[in-house]
Amino acid sequence: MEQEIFLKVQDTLAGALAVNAKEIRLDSSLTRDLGAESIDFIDIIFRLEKTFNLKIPTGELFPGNILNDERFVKEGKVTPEGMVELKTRMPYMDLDAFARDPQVSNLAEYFTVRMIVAYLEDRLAKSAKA
Amino acid sequence: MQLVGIGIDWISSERIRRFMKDHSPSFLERILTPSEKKKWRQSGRSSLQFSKFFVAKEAFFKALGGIWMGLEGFSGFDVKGVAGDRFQVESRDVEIKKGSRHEGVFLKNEQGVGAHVIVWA
Repeated sequence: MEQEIFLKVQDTLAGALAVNAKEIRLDSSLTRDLGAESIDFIDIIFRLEKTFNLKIPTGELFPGNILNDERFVKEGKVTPEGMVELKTRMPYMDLDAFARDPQVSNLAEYFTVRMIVAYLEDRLAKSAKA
Repeated sequence: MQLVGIGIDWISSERIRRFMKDHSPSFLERILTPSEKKKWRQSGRSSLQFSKFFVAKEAFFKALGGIWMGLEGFSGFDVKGVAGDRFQVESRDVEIKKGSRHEGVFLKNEQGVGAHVIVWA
């Protein structure tokens, strides 16, 4: 299941980011390794919705507005309370490395292909059960 | 008066054309507010107009601390006064620091469109 989803995600990201699909690995960071910018995140959401025939609610795949809360971000860093909120809202993200230096401006580096695959696996499994 | 933040963003004409080509207007309008949708339609759904809305919001997010606010963030901010080179951004849902003010300016050439925003309080 994961391999099938990964291959579809690979093709989707290759289209959005105009990169060779072979460059896209599970541990690839969308920004650091694949050069994604903000318009690309929106492009990725739209393409994934079309590819997998589902709607991605705001804040489920990428953090969105939660980091605008003063409880969760202070002086450009995610607070301990913010980290708890992030882990709850973004269970597909590996936040251990980010937690060592939780600069908000660096968070996007931790958006990986694996995160997208894990999210879609979970969504599709839930849809199948429904 | 105290500087709260500055933000800059740029998007290439080629990138925005590709984005608009790949997605229908109904998808693209998800990042626009109702008044922006109306302006965009009045402009004939021009790539320049869409680019301006996008970079204005991105620059504003960066001025507020670099926090990417996702799709809800985009549609939660209204870019006003897009005619000419100056603009303002009004928040529909997101609370911005009380008493803060801001001003934005567009920059453009054949390669793309940029915006810079200063927020102060």
